[in-house]
Amino acid sequence: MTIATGDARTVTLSRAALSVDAAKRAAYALMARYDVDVAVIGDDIVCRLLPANSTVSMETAERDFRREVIDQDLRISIEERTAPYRDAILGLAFSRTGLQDG
Amino acid sequence: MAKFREQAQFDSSAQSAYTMLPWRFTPLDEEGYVATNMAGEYVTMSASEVSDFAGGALRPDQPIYDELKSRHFLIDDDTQVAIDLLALKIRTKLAPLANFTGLHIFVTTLRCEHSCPYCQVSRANDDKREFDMSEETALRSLDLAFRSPSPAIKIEFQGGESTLNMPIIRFIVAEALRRNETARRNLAFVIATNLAVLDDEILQFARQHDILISTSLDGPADLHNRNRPRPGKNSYEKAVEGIARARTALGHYNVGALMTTTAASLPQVRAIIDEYIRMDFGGIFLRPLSPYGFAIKTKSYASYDQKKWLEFFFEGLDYIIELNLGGFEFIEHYSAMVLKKMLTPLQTSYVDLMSPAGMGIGAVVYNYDGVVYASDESRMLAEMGDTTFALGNVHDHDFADIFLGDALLEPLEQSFAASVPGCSWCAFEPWCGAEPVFHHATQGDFVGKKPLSSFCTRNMALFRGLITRMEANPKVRRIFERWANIV
Repeated sequence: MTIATGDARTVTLSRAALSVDAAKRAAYALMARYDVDVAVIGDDIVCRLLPANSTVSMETAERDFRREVIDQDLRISIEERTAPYRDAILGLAFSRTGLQDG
Repeated sequence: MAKFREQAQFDSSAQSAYTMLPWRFTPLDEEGYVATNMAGEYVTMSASEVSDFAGGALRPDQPIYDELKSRHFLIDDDTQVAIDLLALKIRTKLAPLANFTGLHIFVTTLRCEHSCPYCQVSRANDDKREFDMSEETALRSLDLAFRSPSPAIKIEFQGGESTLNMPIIRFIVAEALRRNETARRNLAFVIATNLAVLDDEILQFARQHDILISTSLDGPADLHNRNRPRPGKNSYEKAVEGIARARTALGHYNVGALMTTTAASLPQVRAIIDEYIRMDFGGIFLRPLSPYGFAIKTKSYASYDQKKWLEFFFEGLDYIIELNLGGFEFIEHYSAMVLKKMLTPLQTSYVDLMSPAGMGIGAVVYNYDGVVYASDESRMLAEMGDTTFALGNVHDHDFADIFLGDALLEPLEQSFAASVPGCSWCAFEPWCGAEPVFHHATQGDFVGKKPLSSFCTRNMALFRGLITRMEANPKVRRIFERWANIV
């Protein structure tokens, strides 16, 4: 659901489908273009987008933000699922360097 | 009966689901993505391939499957060796860290007879001897340099115009050589000089001790002289003559040159490159201005924006590619260093592209007055009144105070790219640098908000530009592979 008010856009995301962290990361990634206010209201993540400066067009704001949230959600999922391998690989890389405890 | 079994009989990939190894993805353009593994090897993927791979839906018969498998993005029943190979590649990339500081910059004097408006090292008039390094400061600085465990120690003399204090250069070289008789490091010397005051005695001394010369050449005469004013308005003539004399004395390849991009350079990238070719250099480093020193005071840094610099850079890069495609070998050095990180398991020693940052642990600066700075940029910042990256003083502090102190370790730890917002999820992180000094100078904190960082946006554009060019043309890829293995 999207509500447009002047230059502001409100994008509502379902917490069942997407993580709050993904919305926060997307807000960070797009901070050069949009100021994003992220709030959790019930089962929804409600994000209010405002132009970060006077040169920013809000035409594609919702599309940009939704794409970024989806990318970030996928990244978080990959990070979580591959974390044990990441630890194992780094453990192997640093083994015999004397930099590990124990 | 067939003599050999079908290829599929030897491939267990189809027998079970694959397991993803850690990877990251970042948009390349409107259509595609760049994905990297932990060692920085990359593949380009479509949006649907990213989604299929992450969702466990990729089939072994899809072409991207073998590409991902060969670059250690996944393991399956056919092979599990990727984990060991990735660990080996990461270990290779990080191995130089254990060597610690290899580049030791000695600021012999702040005096300079040039008055370049973009100078990133706030210069002093050439008659003010209080800006010269003393023998005592030099000795204490050498104490620290030889405490570094690095098997290779490069001592670089910088200024001002470093050769205006030639007695201290002679003193440091003699003392370093004496100490190295027992220390037995791979010792090298570089004199950074504008060549304007170069004489035969300096050249004879440089030849005697295998000292390399690094100088500035901004482009054709009119541009160079405009960028680099000096009495006589003949900086270019002095540089060109000095390069020729230095090459005769030291050997052609023992003289290097760097350019700096000013607003006046922007429409002239081809002419600048042509000047480097005319002067018989094998490549050029297309460098933007840095936000330090006189470049800020004289507003040179603010005279062009990122977009204009990138247009300048890519026009130059495409011209250089065109030359190479035509059979003339010539390198763009910044691209070459990035490509080394993209296409080989090796690192570059260029501190801007290091994470952990190269400050202090890649290079360190001993200022004329004994203050130790974490990098050349750190002392430029200090000349503007910000001493955040002053690590101590050679007269008051020992090696542990300086290299284990909070002034060095805090920015190193805080800015480590693999664990900061924006970088930790970026596919380009293995190729990029942490740059705490730049982000402190421009945003007031060591990490910086990456979407607002011109360092980040510049490098992102550059990484994308390099990948796009080599993916579009196999001949360009071969040129880039050559560059990656030269630097």
